Amino acid sequence: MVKLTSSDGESFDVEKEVAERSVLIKNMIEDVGDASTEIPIPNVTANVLKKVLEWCEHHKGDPILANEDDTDARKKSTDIDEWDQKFMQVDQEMLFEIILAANYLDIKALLEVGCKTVANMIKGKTPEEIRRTFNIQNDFTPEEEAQIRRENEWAEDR
Amino acid sequence: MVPLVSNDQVRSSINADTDAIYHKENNVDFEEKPSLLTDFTNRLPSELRTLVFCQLDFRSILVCRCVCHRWKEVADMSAVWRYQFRLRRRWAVKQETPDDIDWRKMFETRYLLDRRWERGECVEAYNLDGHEESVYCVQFDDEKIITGSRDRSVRVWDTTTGKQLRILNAEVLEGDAVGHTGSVLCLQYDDRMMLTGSSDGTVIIWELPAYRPVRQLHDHKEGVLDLSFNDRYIATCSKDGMVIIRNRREEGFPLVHKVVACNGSVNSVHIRRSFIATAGVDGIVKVWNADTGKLLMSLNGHSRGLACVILSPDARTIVSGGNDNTIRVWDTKKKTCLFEFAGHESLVRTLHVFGRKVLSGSYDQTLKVWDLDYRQIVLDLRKYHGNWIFSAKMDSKRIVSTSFGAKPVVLDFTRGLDDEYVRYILM
Repeated sequence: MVKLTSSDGESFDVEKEVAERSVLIKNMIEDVGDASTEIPIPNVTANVLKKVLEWCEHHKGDPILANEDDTDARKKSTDIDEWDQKFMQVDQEMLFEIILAANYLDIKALLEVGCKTVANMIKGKTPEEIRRTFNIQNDFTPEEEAQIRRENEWAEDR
Repeated sequence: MVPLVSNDQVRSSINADTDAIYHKENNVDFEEKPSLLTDFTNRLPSELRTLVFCQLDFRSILVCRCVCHRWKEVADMSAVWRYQFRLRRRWAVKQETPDDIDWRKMFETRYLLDRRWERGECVEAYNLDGHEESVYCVQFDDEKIITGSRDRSVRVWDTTTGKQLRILNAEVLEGDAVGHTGSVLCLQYDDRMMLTGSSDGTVIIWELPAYRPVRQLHDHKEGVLDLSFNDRYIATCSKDGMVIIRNRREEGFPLVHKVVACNGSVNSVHIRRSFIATAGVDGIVKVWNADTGKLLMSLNGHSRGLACVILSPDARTIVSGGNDNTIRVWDTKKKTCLFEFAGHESLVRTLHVFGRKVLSGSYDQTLKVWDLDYRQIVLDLRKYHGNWIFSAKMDSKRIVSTSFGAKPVVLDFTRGLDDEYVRYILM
């Protein structure tokens, strides 16, 4: 077992195998050489860390994603397995926290699922629908909008 | 470069602070405020924003450009478009492409080029005007086109303008006393060397880029119908039924093997790696080992004599064509015919493989492009020649073909596209 401490001081006892889904933690354990010491996770709060560990627990047996593997990168962004889709049904703030934590903790597969989830919130939408989804103000002038439309014309199927 | 913290971010954090003070003064716990929808381009650092955009298809990215200034900035990031470009397995840029090229424009240009090929929209067709008789052979790149003709000359042309740059024939080369005394039937060049073969039975080796003849080979008793070389071997074939293999790497290009490839004319030869494919009047495609000179396989299937044969870059696939009007695609590992392209109505005279595409030219006066993966015709060009087609080559930008007439035809699919980007397209 490994003890992890969140930025707000909460401790989590987790199996070594689960914690080592995070390359950062894995390296820290190796550096310390003693799994019994507490490992501080200064950039992640307890509620996010709990969520991330839940994901690690579910995926503890998965093969580790190879670095920058081309064939994996080619996977379509809709390819998110059912469990992960449910897992990612959180409010936007939590979703972005998970992505930030996955990036900090170096959990490639979770980072990818997070980015794909955001990408799926964008796909198939009009600019106005995207603005509503992410609470964005349209700051373009009509002239700028017309200019961008012209720049995008090449992709239209004529 | 995008600054790590933009002014907007600073401003919004100031607003958040004043909000918090306001809420505390009113005894409302800020933490319990229901979470608002947040713009992730605000929330995530630049490399993670890019990662999200990399999960999108290019049309969605174009939509993102229309959302607001900040989103446009992220959607226009070169990393996003470079990734989109690399996802396309059949696309490639040249090695000298600058790192800081605008990948959005690069993607756009390459995409438009694809669409022109899909639709056969060739913006410009023009002739190379200079040869006095039929043109039998051609090869080209982005800078030059080289052709060989029945008028005994080899000519070099500017690919973009179509202007004749050089003429290589016996008269011009009198000082060197080398030049073909018969039709120039076949040629190939790379950065350092060009070979031309002629009905005079000889092969001339030219040094490039000087176009200086350095050697004339008298290996064959009759006309040299085709030749092919790679970085190791030179293979030539002839009406005399022989295939001659020479070592390219050694001084003087010493003879390596001499094989009788056909009881009759060997019309075509092509080398890739150690494989040499030959096609002759007996209708059998043969594959030889260039190292040993031994016959590796005989592929039977065509019902009449063959005019052309070519190996794919990985040497896994052979494509052959001839007098039965069909094109056959063979697997060199399984040693069988995989499938057949039917459609030509006369002799299939010339074949060329580019990527996964096959270009064919026929005595039916048409050029056709086929796809090896989709196993079907993708382009049928009928209006550019009014006579037998003798040779044709293609790359991602052009098709150059020659025929019984004296004027080769250049079909340029890039005209009107931004040359700043076209020039870096490799595939």
